Amino acid sequence: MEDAIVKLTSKEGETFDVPRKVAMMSKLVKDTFSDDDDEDDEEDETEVKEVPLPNVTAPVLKKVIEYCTHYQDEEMTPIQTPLKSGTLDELVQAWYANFVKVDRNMLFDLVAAANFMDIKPLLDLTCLAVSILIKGKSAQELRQMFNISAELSPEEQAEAQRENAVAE
Amino acid sequence: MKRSIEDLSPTTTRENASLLSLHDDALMTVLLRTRASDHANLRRSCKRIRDMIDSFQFRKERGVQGFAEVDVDLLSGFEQYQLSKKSLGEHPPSEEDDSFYAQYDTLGYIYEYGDYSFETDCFRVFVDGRPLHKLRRREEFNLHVRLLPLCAPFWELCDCYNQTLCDLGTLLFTNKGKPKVASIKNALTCDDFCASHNLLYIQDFVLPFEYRFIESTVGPLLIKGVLKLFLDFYSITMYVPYRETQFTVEEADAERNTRFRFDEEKTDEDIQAEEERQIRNDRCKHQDMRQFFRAGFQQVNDQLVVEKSDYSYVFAIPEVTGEPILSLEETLKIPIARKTPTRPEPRGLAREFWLLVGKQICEWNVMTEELKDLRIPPLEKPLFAQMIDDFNGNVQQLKDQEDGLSNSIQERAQMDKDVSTLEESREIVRTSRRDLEEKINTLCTTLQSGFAEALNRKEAEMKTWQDKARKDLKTVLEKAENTLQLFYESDAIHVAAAGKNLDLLLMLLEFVPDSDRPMAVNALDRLGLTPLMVLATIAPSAGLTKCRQTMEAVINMGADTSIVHSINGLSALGHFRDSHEQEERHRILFGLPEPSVELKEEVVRIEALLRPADGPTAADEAILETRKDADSNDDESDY
Repeated sequence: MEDAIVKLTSKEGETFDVPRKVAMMSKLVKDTFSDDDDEDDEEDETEVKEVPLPNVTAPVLKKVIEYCTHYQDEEMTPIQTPLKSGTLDELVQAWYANFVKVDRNMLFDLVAAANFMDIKPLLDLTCLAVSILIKGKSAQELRQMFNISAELSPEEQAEAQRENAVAE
Repeated sequence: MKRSIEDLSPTTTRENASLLSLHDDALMTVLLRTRASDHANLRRSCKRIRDMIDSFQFRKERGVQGFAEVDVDLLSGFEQYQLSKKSLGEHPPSEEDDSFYAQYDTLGYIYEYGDYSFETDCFRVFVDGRPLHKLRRREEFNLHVRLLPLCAPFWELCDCYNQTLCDLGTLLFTNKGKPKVASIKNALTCDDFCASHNLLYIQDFVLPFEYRFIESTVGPLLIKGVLKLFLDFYSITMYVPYRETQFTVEEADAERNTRFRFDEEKTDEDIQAEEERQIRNDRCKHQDMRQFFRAGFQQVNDQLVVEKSDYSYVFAIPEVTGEPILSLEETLKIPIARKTPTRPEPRGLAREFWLLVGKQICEWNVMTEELKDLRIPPLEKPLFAQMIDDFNGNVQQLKDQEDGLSNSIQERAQMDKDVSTLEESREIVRTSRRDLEEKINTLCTTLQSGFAEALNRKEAEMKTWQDKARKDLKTVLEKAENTLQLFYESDAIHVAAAGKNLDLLLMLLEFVPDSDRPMAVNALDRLGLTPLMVLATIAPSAGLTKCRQTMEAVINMGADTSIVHSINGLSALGHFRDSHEQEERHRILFGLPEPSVELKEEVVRIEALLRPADGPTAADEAILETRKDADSNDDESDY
């Protein structure tokens, strides 16, 4: 049981062999198993399972597995909410703080993957990273940073401007 | 703004990362974890984010997942002063106002006994930057807090805020706010109150709908915020969910639409609906209490208090502000102490019978009063006595006049002067006096005969009415398959006793077959009382002698003096003592004269009559002890 392997397949079809214990951090994977267990009793226990993850690309999946593997050795300290501090290093261990120092594309992909695979600590960590990115930025900066354009119609732009004026 | 799934997919290759590439749920997850201070700019950055942040769901989830940031502030004394001036339509005052210096301190307006009252207006409450204190509708947000000194005028203060707190204060504290309930005593560790001897009373606490979920952390955080505000000013905090609770939207709507109904017009469906509503209200109340548990409150769990009072309440001491809020699982494990539920209102035929007896009591009691009034000789009634007195006064005046004239006539006759004119005048006076006397006589006879006639008529009427009443009762009773069962379900005997109509009580018992009587006279009503207990309770106010006779009759039918009330542990004797004590206190309070020797003897007789076979219960004895307590307390407060 301990050495059981789960095969995780990325969008591109690349397969990663992951120890069952590591893969089980994803609630999605866990649910797939328990669903099957209900149907086939204990028969599948030894069989190598394959879980397709059509929403996750290979590089992202690799990162996710890296996270889950490390988590087995050093559990991430739960993030206290409401947030007490503004920097990652004060909230989580160094390894985790470094883990999310990636470009924004990767960060958002990780958020999406963590959300899809339902890995709570990873979701907490990546969202924390995003919220730190957002912290203290003006609307204009946010728009640039997240490449938000033409999201507002002219009327809405005007309205936003008005709200801006009121707020400042 | 609509995009296809491909666009949203994270695998789409693109030049620049966009937060908006995330699915709604992922985006929501990210936004939930942002800081409230960034929300304003996030809202302004794009419509999709703004809609999300503005949604009910977003606010709810922030609360539920523990991301909500709650800030509570108390307006300064001067700000509160300004506010109250403004609400009176007066000009905003300056800080030099004399009345401000005289009546306010940093906390706010100081009332007569040094207590404070803080309404919703006195607070600034923000949840994620959303100002709750600006929500105007009462069902949306409501926060009332009192700071009451736990000293001599405690009860007067409680009473002017509400009866619930006054009752509770009586149960929990004895003299000068010293706690008598063990759990509170322990909470205060008997250090004779290290803090400032104040009770922080959270009177109303209603959150906007999105934060009312039991999972929400907004409530507990807000409560903690309030506790922190007053940290140095109280030694114990209390909350009693009783008036408004954290109703859900549906429940609040339903509550608004319920119409008051008199007992007579309630149908069985109404009663059922009422019971169901009561159950739902209880659930809301418990949810309310769980929010306080999460903030670190405990429950008063002394059985004595819980069983005596309808209210559930929780308390906390200043230390809890430092502790983290409890998780939902932890609070769900805390049991909520409950008073033993009473039997629901009677339904169907039992209800018909119950209402009939209630109606008969009213009518009968009115007639009895009228008869009692008619039996008083009319001339002894103040109105008539006054009138006759006035007339007799007039007669006396005429007599005096006559005597005066007679004297003058005599004097003049001695001087041999003409007295004919005077004699004429005297004759006129004499005639009118006689007329008047005649009239008074006629009036008295008419009054007496009139009253006697009215009395006869009323007595006849009473007799007819009683016959009809008996018939009415019989009609309903004949419909029942089991008479005794109907008595059990309708509490008719108890109702008659509580209505102080002892004749009706005996009349009702005539309908019960001899063999069933012992059962009927020992039946428990909705509140767990036997008829004898009810009689014992009303005795001091309904005429001791008559009550004693009825009690004797009921005991002869098999009423058991040893039955003890399941909640308060009192026997009928205890109920009598309790009620008698109250009557005495009332007498002393109003300075009424001491009861006569006969009445005192009657009290002794009733005590002997009601004595349970194994002697008075502990609770029965405790009543006399509380009197001693109260006496010694009175002595102390005299100083």
